[in-house]
Amino acid sequence: MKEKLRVVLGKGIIPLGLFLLFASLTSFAQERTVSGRVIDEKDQGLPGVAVTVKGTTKGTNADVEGNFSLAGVKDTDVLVFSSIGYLKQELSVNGQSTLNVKLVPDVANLEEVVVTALGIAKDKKALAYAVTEVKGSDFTQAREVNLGNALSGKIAGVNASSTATGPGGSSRVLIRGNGSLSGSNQPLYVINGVPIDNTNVGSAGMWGGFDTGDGLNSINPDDIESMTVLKGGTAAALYGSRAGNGVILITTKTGKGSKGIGVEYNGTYTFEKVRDLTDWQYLYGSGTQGVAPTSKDEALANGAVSWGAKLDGSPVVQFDGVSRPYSAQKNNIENFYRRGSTFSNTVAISGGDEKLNFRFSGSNADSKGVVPNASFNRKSFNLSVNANLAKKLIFESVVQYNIEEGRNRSFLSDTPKNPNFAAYMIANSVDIRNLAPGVDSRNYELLWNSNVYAQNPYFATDYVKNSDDRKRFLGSFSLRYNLTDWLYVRGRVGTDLNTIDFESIEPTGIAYATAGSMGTNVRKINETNGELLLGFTKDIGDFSLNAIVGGNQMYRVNQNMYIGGSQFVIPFNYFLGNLTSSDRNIEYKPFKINSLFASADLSWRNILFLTFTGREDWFSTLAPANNRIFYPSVGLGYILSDALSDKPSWLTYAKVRGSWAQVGGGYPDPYALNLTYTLQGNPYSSYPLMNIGTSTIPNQNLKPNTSTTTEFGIETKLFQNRIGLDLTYYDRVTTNDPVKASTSSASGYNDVLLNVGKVQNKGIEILLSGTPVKTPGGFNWNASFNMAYNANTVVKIADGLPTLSLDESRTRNAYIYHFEGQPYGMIAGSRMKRDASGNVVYNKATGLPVQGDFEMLARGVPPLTMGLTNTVSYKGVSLGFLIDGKFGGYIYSATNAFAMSRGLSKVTTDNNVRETGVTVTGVDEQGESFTKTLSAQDYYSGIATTITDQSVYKSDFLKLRQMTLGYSIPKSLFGKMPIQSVSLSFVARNLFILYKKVPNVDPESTYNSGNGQGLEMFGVPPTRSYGLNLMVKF
Amino acid sequence: MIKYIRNTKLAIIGGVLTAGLVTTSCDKGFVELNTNPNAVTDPILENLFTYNVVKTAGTGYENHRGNLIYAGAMVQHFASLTTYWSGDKYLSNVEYYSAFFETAFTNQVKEIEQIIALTKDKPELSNKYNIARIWRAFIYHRITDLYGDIPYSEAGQGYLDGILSPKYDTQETIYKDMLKELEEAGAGLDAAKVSYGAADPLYAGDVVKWKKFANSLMLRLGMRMTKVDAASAETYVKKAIAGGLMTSNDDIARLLHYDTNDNNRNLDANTLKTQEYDAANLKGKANSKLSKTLVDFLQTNNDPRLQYIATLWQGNADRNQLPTASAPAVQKGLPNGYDPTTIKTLIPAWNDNSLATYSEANLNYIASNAAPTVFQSYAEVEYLLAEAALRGWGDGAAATHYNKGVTAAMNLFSIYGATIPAASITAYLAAHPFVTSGMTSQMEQIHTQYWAATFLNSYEAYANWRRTGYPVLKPTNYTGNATGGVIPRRLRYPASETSKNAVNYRAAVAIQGPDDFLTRVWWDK
Repeated sequence: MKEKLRVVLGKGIIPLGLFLLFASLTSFAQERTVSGRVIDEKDQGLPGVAVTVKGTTKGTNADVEGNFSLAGVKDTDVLVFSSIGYLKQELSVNGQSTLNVKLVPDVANLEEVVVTALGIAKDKKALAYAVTEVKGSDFTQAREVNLGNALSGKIAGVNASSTATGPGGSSRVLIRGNGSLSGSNQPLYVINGVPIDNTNVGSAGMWGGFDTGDGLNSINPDDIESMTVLKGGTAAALYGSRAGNGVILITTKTGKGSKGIGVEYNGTYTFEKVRDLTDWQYLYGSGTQGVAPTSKDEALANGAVSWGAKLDGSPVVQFDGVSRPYSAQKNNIENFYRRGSTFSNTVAISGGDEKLNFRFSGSNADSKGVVPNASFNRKSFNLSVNANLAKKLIFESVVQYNIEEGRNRSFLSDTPKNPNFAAYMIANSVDIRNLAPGVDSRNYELLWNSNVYAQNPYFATDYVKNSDDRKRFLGSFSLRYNLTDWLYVRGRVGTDLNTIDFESIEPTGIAYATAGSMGTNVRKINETNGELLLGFTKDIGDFSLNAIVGGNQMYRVNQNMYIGGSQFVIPFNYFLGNLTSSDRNIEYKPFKINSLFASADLSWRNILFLTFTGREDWFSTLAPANNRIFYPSVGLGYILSDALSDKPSWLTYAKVRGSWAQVGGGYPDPYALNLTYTLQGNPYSSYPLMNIGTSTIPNQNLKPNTSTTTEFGIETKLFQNRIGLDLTYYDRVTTNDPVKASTSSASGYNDVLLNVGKVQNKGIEILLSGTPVKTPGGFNWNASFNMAYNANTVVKIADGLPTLSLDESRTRNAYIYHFEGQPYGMIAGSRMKRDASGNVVYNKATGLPVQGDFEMLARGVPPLTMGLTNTVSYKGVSLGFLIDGKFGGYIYSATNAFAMSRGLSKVTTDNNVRETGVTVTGVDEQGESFTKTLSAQDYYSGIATTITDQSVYKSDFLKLRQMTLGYSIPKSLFGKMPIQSVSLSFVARNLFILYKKVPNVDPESTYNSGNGQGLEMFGVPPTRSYGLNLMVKF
Repeated sequence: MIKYIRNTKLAIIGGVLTAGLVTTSCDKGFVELNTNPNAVTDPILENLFTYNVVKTAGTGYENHRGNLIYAGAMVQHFASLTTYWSGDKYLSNVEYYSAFFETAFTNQVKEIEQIIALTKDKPELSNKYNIARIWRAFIYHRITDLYGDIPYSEAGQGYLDGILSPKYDTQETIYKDMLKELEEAGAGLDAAKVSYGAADPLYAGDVVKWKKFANSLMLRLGMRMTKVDAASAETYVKKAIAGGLMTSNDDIARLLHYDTNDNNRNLDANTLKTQEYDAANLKGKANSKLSKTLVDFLQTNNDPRLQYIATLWQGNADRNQLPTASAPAVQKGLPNGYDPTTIKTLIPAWNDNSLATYSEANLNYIASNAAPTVFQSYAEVEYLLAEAALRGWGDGAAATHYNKGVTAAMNLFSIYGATIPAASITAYLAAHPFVTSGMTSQMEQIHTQYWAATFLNSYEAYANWRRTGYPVLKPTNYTGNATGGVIPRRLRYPASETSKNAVNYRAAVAIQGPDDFLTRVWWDK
């Protein structure tokens, strides 16, 4: 018996009657083995297609040629054929043993199946909330070493920014704004179902420091299959207390669907150059009060001061005692920084059959920063093995091992060890190259200015050392057993083991402490999650139910061991045993969250979808009386287009959705409940020294915050997919935030932990995509525009606490503060004091404007973010570019404040003030009218560090972020070579700033990825990178 | 049968899930897990007290900024050609004038308030309580002397009372309370009861000496009020004398130091050594030097202390060069208030080699890393007694106290490893006997000596100078200075107070006057 049933969609379906006839003839409730072949729209075998018996979990996957075979099929069963990117198809068996199927691409929704919470793949149309999936290929061409930076401008509602630090730094990724007043606002990252650590293990603050990157740095873009952004509470609700800021799910590539053994190579070489955005005055040179230096000491005192005489080319003595022409040096920034480069190579091998498949990749990414001697190297090895161990037992695993080395990361913000300070602030008549090699004949730092804390930049890059070496193991192992057709159990263990060795050396001869010092840290951050769940899938009439119930245990230990000290006994020998005095410190912080969770997805006729989730978390870091919290969510989705009986022809697809969820975040660190005492590493004489071990006031009653999100959305596709629109409105309210609130130092403490506050984030996200041009000749133009506006309000802080401090600039006159009723993270400080009539009040003694009261100045976080992606392709050639921008925020630029006080800003020469002085008119502190003429130097250096708003600028920008020009070489060219495809691209990142307001610096220049955004100071200048990318598949 | 097995499996797995996570309690072991193994919950009072005294001597940060750069230069012990030595030129540097306030509250007040809370109302700990009260008065008097009105009654209570934004008390209230505290605490000391023992780095638990210190401090505070409230000043000076004061250099309040690590070093000295002089590197071209005012006073009076206070950089670079480098004749002080350019208006011959010929504090003696920090010396007590005698408040003759003061001040150099021969002291006193020409000159003589005896304790030198006006210091008027060429009368409040404690800060400013360098503190009116 060789019945063949060929169903070709779009050409005609075999009449139902005939179907029934067959059925009645042959269906005698027998079990049989059904086999066949699945082909795609080009009649090629389609590998890996899931073939399941409808309403059960019984199923198999097609092999690489599209052939499948499934035993134990009843004649009355219906087989479901599904594959990502294709429309699902159902076929009744009707007693046949062979079924051949042709799947058609899902033009309505190419990303039909998305990975959702707990790694469960769902039909996108069934979701009641907004998710965005980004394909791995979006990150691999024009790559950033840190994945977080690569997210910039790609997803509506995701605000990604990076630090001005060079390769391997951290990034700040915000989904739908800042919810937590002082806790982390970054999302949870989950790789293959397992949460990973994304701690920023070292960052710069007002006192300087450097950024040693975050956990996201470990991910090799070439290993990413897809990235799903769970934006709202409902999407992430199953992660409970960890979901408050949204979740980013990363699925790595596997060997599924491999055709034999395949090899893939992806290599990128890019080089980058700094962009000098400074626009200093070049009329007056080094010196003070209009006078050029006349001695070496004076030149040193004015090494970073440009208040001198008119530049006239005459010989003037410089910091080293050598006289050189007194003329403008306009290229100090370009002359100091080197050409950076990144060379990354990934080779992946994959293979397998229907029983077992694997993929192994090895990669090496080597970055040399623009700051001399700064580098970052990442080697990663990733192995994915999936196996059907027995008929009902499925094993999946991914292990990854990373070796990451950061070397001489640039110090930022404050001046010590920061080479950028000199590059920006060196007097404009001194050539920075004369500061090389940074040392004198004894190998001590060569001084170039009188502030010993403002390092010689060559000394900072060539002699000051820091290193961080991270070894990281990521593992995810899951075992699923199908108990019945409709019930399965899945156990999963995931672990993320990080060990980071830090070393930093202030070498012998560093000007501010010539005896030198060093410190070493061993930091371990380990997190293990164990999860067990029971899943249920069943169709009952028009309804189908998917439910899970399970539990998770999270155990994280954060350890730190520090040994360091000062004064090397034998100079220039840098090891711990060579220190005159040493210090040690140890930290051990374990943390557990135990959880129970359940969810139910109920659908009706594939048109109406209802989702419930609930999760209860128990926290080890909370007091026993209040250590458990319940997180619920509910969502509803309705496929309008499928429900319409007479759908208009232009409407391809339409869905409305709404959801509500309560999730949490910002739970306290270990040991925050009680006051403890610690012993100092070194006793006084022989007497131990004990002190209160914390500068934060502990609190027994702390709880995590609660973030309640309500969202509504519409998704439509019109005119056969030529236009797509996805619109979301959300309202997210975070309450009861455990806040680290700054206290008056007179309280004895620097801050306190309080559950306070109410922060609201309301916003809209728009994703507009379309294909403006599509010709039969193969010319395609795809465009996608995303935009999000997040209206943010700190509704309440706490009774008696109308403001909350977040951060402070090194200039100590600019702050980031929360103010009740205002947006999150306002730049705060002082304006000039004015009397009731608006006259500026001057200090009679100095003639300078009196610093007004501390007040709110401008918002630090831009509310509007947008991105525009365009891809034009014709045959094998494609051209893509990404423009992104952020609007509505401000930045306090300490670099500009310094430039004003050092006489570099153009304002210090405008209107001939160097010659005429600055005449101020107003009133004195007694209210008498006052006028005085000050030298430009006295006036501008006087206001630069007191009057904050002088250096507050709009941080709006529009950048040509990325450009790629790719060419896929036709296969025919390779003849019989074992090459499947080759593509070559020219890639460029950060090409142009199309629009900005802040002078001299990049509006995105920020020195850390913490909550206090809106401060800038002496970061690594922005860079532009170009390169080539080669992708070969064998 | 198959169905039965399936159900059993189901039951087992369901059981593991629910039983494992619910019935065995989802928070088992959480309290233990959240207990820091590297810290203790029960404090050891002795160790807390040692820490508190050590940190009151300084953490290095505020020593540099508060004691040296501001106070030390304003009283013209130090001078500098740089602009970061803000006190030399009366420049406003928010970070430097904030440093002492912020550090004192978080490193000194914090623990002493904790010790007081832990010992209060415990009769068996009364000595520990009373010693802590005396030490607390010491801590607060330095803060209020520098800033004026400060948080006091509500300060340091962030944990104890949950006060996050303490109100400011007027200096008058604070002084009255500190004096009351010293009186009560001194009287409450009981030799029969347990004290801090050897962990007390000042007096090794000797309550008799603590009582002398309490009274000596009362004398200092009492005398501070002469300008504003002479009657109270008299009352407390008399009480202090009656209660018993320091009687020799064995009674001084000092912390010994050891050059091992920063918990043991003299951090005023170490700051000078590592951050200012770094003799081998700078070869005498340091950013700070001794002031001409100080060096001239010691030199013109043939003061035997000069060689132990001052040296040229060669002596700091190499101890073997001390004999020539610290020779009194070659010492030279730098005029206050100039920069490398403007100094040429004063000294036309100035060149790049000039700076190296100016004296630095002697790192081998008074500014050694192992030199004790002196909180209050016996010499200071005698000088104040000389003034009390002049005012008719004390016993004995002013001249006697003056002579004892000078003798004690010079003998004190033994703690720095220097021996000033008795003959030198006799000769000095013979050459500079107590003047007889009236109160004004007598006050000048006493307090100029007081000023010389409080070198490196600039907090005290600055306070006493503001009260007495001695020695007469010539102010400078550097361009861009914050006072119009007048020596500041206080430090400004830290910027953090203007924002984090805004309401109380504004209230304090409304009472005390504008938050600038010229507003006078209560006792300086």
